[in-house]
Amino acid sequence: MSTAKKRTIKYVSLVASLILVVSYFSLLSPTSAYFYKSETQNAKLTFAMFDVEQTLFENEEKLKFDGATKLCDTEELLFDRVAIEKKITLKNNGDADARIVADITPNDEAVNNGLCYYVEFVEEKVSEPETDAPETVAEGEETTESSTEEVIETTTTSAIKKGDLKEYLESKLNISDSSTHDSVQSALDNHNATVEGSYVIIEPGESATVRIIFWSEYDPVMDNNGNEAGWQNAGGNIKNINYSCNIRIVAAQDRDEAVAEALKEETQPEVTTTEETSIEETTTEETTVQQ
Amino acid sequence: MKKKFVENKKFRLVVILSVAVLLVLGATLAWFFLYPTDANQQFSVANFQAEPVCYFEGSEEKFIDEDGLITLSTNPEDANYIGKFCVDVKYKGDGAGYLRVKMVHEYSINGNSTQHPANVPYTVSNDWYDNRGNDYCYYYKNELDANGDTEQTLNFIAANNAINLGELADGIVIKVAVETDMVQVNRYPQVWGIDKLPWK
Repeated sequence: MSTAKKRTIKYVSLVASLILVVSYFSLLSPTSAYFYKSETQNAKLTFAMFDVEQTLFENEEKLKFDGATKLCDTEELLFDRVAIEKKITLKNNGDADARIVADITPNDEAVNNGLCYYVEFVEEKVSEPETDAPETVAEGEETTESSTEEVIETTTTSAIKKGDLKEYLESKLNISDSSTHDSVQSALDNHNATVEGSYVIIEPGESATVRIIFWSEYDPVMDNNGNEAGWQNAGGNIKNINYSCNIRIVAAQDRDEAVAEALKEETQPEVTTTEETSIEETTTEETTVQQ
Repeated sequence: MKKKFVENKKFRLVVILSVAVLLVLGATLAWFFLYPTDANQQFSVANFQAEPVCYFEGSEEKFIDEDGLITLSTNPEDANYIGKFCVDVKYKGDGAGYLRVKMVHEYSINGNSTQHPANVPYTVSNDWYDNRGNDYCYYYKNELDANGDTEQTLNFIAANNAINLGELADGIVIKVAVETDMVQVNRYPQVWGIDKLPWK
């Protein structure tokens, strides 16, 4: 190839590179490319590294509740036994503040059939010393925790004790002996709406945890699937209730527009219908009790 | 290569610009990372069903009367001899629960009802707790966790031809009603009305 041709190729490559770089920046939306901080007096342009590490939320194929539970019933001590707790930890490894937003969306059928949740941010402001080496995003470990409280019985005559999750929720939602399902549900909905309508900011080096407690609420399950006696002993009818819930935790730049844009991309929650296995005809050999 | 980089101005410019482009791209990619957790989680809850299966070893007949009670004989020669009486419990479903079997006996001699001071000494495994003195029930001591629609069987009362009937009088006729009762693991205080499980 002649020298002139080589020179031509080089110049063309150079010009093409310049055009690509300029186009790349010009086509980016301002909220993504630039950290605009608009204040009343000064507009500030900030460039910083944004890097939030998140423990992977490895959703298992299906999580099974061992039973339905009644949160408003202060005498039900074994709530923890059938509730499921999930935790997602986020750590800010970058140089810029990160805003963490949670969005939990059960589908309508799940809500009607009693899927309930309680979400909160648990801030753990643990700052770590800076290092020179650039931090890379590492694969996190799942921090799924199922309900952990075993019934503690110390003596042969000891009664069961209320679990930590139940006590915590009763305290947070002001549940008392006079609470009803509707009043507790209302308090729960208000709490979740408040949390999901807000956010937590984690500064560089800090961590935060999103904690979600799930359970199947007793009253809707009974209302939709027969009474308590029918549910507990089935009487020939096995009922399976499936719930679907979309869980979205977003770490974005500490700006309303960035978070709004991130949440706009949320996927539609899958809709699954409640299944009922076929009612089986059984020739029961159960005899009536004669007292 | 080094000589070419030093001497050739255009080559030097191309290399520097290429490196600059790569640096910018790398930095912007790091900038634009959002770390979303976006998962669709499935849950389920289910109930369960249990029923007793009563039979006499070596006989097809069930000996159930019009009231639904099973007649037990104290004569070893009879097909419905009490020592041949067996009970299994079949259960299915996907919930976790506790199981108890209620057994209520009627005793009569020559057609007249009578009381009996002691419980019939059935042969049951160590998995069952005899709480009949309090509520006519045997309790299965383990939590049951069924597997969907797959029916599972628990052996409850086994045949025992050497059963020691103790104080049971000759000629006594025993009738028994057998009923299973299951409850969610977290609701037994509310449904069964007990503060703690009897065997604990």
